[in-house]
Amino acid sequence: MKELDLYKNLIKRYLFYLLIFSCVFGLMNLIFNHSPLFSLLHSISYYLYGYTVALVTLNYYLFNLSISSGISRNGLYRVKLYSLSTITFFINIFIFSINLFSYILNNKQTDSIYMNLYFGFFNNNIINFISMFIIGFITIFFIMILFNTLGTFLSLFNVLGKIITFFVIYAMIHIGLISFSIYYFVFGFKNINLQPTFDLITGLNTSTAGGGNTGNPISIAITLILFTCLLLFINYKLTKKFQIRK
Amino acid sequence: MQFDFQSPEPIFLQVSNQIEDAIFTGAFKEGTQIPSTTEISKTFQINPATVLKGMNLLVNNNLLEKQRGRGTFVTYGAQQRVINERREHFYHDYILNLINESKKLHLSKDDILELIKRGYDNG
Amino acid sequence: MDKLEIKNLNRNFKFGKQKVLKNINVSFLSNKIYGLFGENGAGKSTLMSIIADYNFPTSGEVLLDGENVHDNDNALSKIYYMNQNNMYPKNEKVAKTFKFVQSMYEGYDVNLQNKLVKEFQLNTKSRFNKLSTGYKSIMKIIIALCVPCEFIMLDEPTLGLDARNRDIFYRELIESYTDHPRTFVISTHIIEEIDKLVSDVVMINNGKIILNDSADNIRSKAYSINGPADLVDEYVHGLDIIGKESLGQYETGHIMGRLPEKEIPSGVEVNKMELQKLIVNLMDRSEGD
Repeated sequence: MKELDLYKNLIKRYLFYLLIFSCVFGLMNLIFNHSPLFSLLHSISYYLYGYTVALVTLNYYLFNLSISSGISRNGLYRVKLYSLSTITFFINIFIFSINLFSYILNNKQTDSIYMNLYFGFFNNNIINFISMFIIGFITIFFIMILFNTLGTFLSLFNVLGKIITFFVIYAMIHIGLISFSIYYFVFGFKNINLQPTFDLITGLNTSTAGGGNTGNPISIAITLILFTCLLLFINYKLTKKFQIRK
Repeated sequence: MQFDFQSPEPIFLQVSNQIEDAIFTGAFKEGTQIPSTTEISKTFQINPATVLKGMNLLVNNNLLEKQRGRGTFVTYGAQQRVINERREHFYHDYILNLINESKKLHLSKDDILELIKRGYDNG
Repeated sequence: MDKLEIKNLNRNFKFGKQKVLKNINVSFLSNKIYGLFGENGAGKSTLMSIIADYNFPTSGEVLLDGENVHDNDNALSKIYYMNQNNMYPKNEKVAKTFKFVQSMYEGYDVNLQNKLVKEFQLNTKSRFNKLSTGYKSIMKIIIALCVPCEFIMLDEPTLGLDARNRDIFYRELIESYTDHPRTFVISTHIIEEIDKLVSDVVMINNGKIILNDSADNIRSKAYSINGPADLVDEYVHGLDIIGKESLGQYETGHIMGRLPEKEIPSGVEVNKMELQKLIVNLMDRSEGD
């Protein structure tokens, strides 16, 4: 089946470059920074993230390949989802493993955000680890879809359009930040309490079953899943809009 | 084979005429295989369906026969059939025209016979 | 496939109300070779890219055997569009791209591909962007001839090809067409190269279809009448005159339709009009529209 073959092709390519990437940066880190094993692996994982994110935005190229092979935009969307899920899975396993080993060997000290914020919510440590794995997948998948959707959006424009869009978004963010600051600091917007909303979304600062000061990972999971679904819908609509530029 | 694509004749007719000419002159001998549709269409860049149409004309007139798996061959007696047919047409194509033209030039029947004799004497 | 129909197709320019394609209605039948002719910018490439679902129409539809082609994996797998855009990765070696297309199309004719690579002397180890214009076309041609699709569109396939390679292309096209009958739509400016090869002619001018007929039909009713101007004028009076040329007292009138019943006056010659001339005349005529 065409889509399956395109998917396999993409994954093979991705893994191949991933391997090279990891080796090169791993080696460089080892040579120049004499990094201990875990920080080395951590830095590799950041590079993986960055590389994947960059890759994930190359949508026009993927569209060209698919439409010239008789794959419809629906099919392209499906291939994207399968590929991103697979890639997320690999990265998640990698990062999870690093954190697991770090936890075990470094006496419960890790760089993992999850571990610092949410670990210990459940009574059973095995469930805690499973939860970490799942939340990790959800988070990484969310990031992938976010960047792919952004990439898809930008791919719809030609070079000029991309530059304009970039500046518009840049300007919007700055205006947003400036107006927020003005409201908060100048007009004393402090009365509107954002804290409860924040807590609801992230599940932090709540009392837990396992005791201690850890947050509820289920809240953040639900939030991320909702946002992911929204992004998936937007991504689908955008993917359907692709056309060949002469 | 030569084609004159300026001619008012449809191409498929030109194809069949050219093959018929080759049979007439003996260039395509009886019992031998003639170039395939594909070969002819490739050489002159003519649509294969057109070439086939021309060939089928000759198949219908029993000048060519298709042998399954082997190709198209000139039928036995084809050359004679062409000669006979052309003799028939000779009268219509040449003789009647000759007479028409001679009338325009006010030549009598005896004048024509004299001219014909002259033609033969001169080789 | 049975037929590919285009119904009431319109497409506007990106900005503005002008239309690239105006109310196009045409059907392409199975196993025929179509010549798609028209000037630069007439809308040929736009039409083909819409058929292949590369671009969207503003209104109207494209149906393959009754099914709308848009976002239809089943229909799209039967259509292949060889176009002037570069669809495959520019930095990739030809051999790798070939392998990719092979994996995308089940039933891709690898044997034919290898044969064509040898015939054209294409260096498959070369990267696509390092190929000359001609060889870029050749790579695309090879793919187009090897995919197992029933409807193949070729947009200027001989662009950049030298005489030898053009000859090879047409020979291989005919052979492939004979071995595996399917529909070809060839768009080219060099009309005389394919005027005997096409079974049907579709002409687009200013976004509209101005001619859509079988080549045999067209040839049987396209004539060039030349001779002394007054005799020619009298003879062609009342006929569909699509063009005229004069050289001193002599004139050539190009007409479409049946020849009149009357006798051809002496001094006047009636010749078949070549497709090339016919198309040029038709294009000039619809300039005024």
